Amino acid sequence: MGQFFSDRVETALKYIYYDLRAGRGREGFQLLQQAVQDGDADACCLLARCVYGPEYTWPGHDFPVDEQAGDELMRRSVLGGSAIGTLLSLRCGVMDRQLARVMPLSFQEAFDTVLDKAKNGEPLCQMIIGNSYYWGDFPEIQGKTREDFDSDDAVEDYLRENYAKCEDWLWRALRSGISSGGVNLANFYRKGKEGLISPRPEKAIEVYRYGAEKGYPSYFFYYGNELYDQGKKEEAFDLYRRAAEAGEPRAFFWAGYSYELGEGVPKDNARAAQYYQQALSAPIQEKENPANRLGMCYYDGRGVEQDYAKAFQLLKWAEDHGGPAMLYYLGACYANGQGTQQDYAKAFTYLKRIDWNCHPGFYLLGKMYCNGLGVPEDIAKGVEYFQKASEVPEAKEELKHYKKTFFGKWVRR
Amino acid sequence: MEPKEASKKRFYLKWPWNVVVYIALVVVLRIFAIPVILLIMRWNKKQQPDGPEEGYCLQRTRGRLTGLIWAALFLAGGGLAIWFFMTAQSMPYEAERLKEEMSFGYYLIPVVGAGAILVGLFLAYRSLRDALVPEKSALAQSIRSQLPHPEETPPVKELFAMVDQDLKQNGLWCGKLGVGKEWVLGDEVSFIPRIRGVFSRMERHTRHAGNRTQVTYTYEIWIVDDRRQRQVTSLRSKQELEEAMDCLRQRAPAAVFGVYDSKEYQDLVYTEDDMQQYAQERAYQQRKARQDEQDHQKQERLAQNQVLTLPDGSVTYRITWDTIHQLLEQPAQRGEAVPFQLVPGIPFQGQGHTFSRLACLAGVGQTQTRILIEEYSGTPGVPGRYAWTRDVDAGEAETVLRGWLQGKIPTLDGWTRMERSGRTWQQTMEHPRKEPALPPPQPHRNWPWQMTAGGHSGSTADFSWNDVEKALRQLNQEADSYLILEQRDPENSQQYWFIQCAVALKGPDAGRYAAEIGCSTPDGPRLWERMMPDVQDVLAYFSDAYHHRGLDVSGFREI
Repeated sequence: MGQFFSDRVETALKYIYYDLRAGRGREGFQLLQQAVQDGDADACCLLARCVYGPEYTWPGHDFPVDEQAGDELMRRSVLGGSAIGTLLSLRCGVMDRQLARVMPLSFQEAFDTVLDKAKNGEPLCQMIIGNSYYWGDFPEIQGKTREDFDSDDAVEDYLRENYAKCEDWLWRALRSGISSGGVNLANFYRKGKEGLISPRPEKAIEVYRYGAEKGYPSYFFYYGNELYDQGKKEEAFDLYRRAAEAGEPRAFFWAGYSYELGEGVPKDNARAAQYYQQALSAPIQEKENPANRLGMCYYDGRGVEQDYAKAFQLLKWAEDHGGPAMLYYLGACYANGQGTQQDYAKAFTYLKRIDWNCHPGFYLLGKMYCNGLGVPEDIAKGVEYFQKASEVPEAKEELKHYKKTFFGKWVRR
Repeated sequence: MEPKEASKKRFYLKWPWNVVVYIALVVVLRIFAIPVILLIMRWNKKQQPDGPEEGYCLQRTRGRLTGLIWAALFLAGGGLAIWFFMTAQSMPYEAERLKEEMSFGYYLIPVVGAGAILVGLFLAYRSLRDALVPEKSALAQSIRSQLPHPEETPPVKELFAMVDQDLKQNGLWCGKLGVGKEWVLGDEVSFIPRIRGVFSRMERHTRHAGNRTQVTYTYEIWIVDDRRQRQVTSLRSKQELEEAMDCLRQRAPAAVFGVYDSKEYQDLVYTEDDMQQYAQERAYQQRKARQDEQDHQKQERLAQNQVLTLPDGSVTYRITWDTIHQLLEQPAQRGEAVPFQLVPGIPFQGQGHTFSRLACLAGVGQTQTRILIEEYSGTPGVPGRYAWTRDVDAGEAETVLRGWLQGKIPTLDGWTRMERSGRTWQQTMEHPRKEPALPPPQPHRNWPWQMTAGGHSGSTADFSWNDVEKALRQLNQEADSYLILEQRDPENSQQYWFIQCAVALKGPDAGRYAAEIGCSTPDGPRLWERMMPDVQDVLAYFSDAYHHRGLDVSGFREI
């Protein structure tokens, strides 16, 4: 038996929360599964958090997501008398009257147990206590209602005092080695508590900087974002790179993007493409941007061997999944039959939406208008687009095939 | 296929009525006829938007009639000079005075007059010859001289048609210079494979007459062929000249390009030394070979503009024969069929059809490889209605696929034409049957079953009833959702029986299950169909067939 939990649970906690860089999250998950089979109520609660989604652990672990199984595990944890399970059940929606009636521990008892472990230095418990204050679970835990207070001011004082307690506990959790403790701490600083505590965004950056200095992978990413927004591209890139190397999946795209644009690092399309590829294979939801960027790399043959089929597949996937449509690239794929069957009508639907100075796009539009491809023939409009596509040498050649009549009408020579 | 709108024949003034009208106008209106004639000429041109009906060459030879104007001027000038001389001779006093004043010049008047008349006659003869007897025209002679064996040339009609057709299909026009893929039509004709040099001539001529300074420009394009002969065409402007040079650069890229009278020009035209001529020809052939290689690579790239979709759904544009070879070899190594498909970006044409897709199911063990090539529907993204399929051995599969990668379609003799039926294919019925409708036969007890499910799973002989049931329950209205339960005679693979099902996409039966039974018969393939609203009904039929429990075929209608 460990100091605070069973041996297996304590080892699992280390792998899943405290030592992310070791890359042993899967082992931690398996240990929790074994402990659950042995009826460990704390393990039930922790395994539930794993399967609720990456935001409850760390995206780099790539644990399977199954909310229904998570709810079931959480119920077992509460019924098994786990103090952390009882407290965390307030946050995941499994707690109902029926469960509240049969649970062996009251919220206050659970809170006291967890608080005791937190005071003795257990980081997860420190985070749970901090989050109880941050999320405002304390009135329910303490059984307080409006009737317990004389006035609204008293209520406000009570809430202000308790919300503020999260700061200390979350800092202690962060310092003790649980990186996710700092997420709500930064949120607390950035947003404050409406009408009670004012926001202090500068302190949020301090949290990120502290996390990055401690070597937490996700904090490299968070702090990198802050520095990027401040225009410190070089420092930001260094952090993205370190985050990516430590396995933080959200950093792959930004590391690649920095390499592609040469922001804070010399341009290197090959490494950019590698990072985009990693981002696409990573356990994250937002893959539209890496798909689009890698699609463009494949189309242009930048950093990868030119492959129109892969380019079109990625660009179309990104668009179909809600990402921004890369209008020129998709239009060019359809217009030239690159990576997909030639379809001028579809090409036109993309190209006509181009509202920036895209010379190759204008050239394609010129060709389509002048030859009536996917759109009724309109030589005047086509010539206008050819003239706008001044940077494309072929546009100048095309213009030679048309002339303006005495009456100002453009006709084919 | 009929064109959507039959091209209307527009009225225009045909040869020689146009000339008759122009002459009549000149007679009636004299000098004022010129703008009217120009207007008529313009209208005539507009009425023939696809080029002159008579052809570019004939139009050009007939256009030489304008030479009659010059002929008339020479004849009139010459006649006037003779008349003046004769009149002077009839008046001795006047003749003496002129002899004194003009001395030798007086005796030149009849000579010049006679010369002008001769020139006039020659011009008239040439104009009339070119216009009325095209066989003897300068243009026809020019074309003949460009052919490899001028003495064996075809009739002039065919000669002109050869040039006209090329210009009509591929012509780029820069003023009066037409550049096709094989021929260049200017004042003379050049055969592009013979062109060794193209030179532009742009000269400014200044003439001072009294206080006036007259500036004229010469714009000419000089084409030098492999026999050092030159074909010269005059153009109207610098722009036309530049455009003509650009056009010729595209069509004869291996030729030498430069400026008239430059060193390149002198070297090409005036070199008498055999060694130098040989070196020039060798340099040309090397440039041409390089160009041909580049064109060939470009063609190959275009043909290879295809998307290879692999069984796992991944795609690639970088298709090499090694990749295809591996896919064909995989089934033998892994023991399972590997379906893949090749979709060209721009559908191929061949064998009288246009094709948009090749699907291949590489055979396992003794099984042959099945190849299906789908005809293009004519609308991007819309599946084709017909396809051709054939089970081929490894060697033939390789030939077909290698050809497809080069944009070539195999001869379709021996291939089975299929027609789309929902998401599956069925053999097309070439001849409607007249004999009374018969119910479909029962499946064969001794023939093995094979299951093919839609998507990329391919065919398998290793399955149970549970797999069939699961696949049937998963049928939906999405693309490639179908199930085929097939039997083939182990001793004769041409004999088969199958039951298949898909959900109807559209029409009155949309959403219902279409079950079909097909089999080979001595009279050819036959197919029966029955629509069912519920998957349970489908399951019952498939179960009866699979377990040989006596399939109730009473509700199936032959189609």
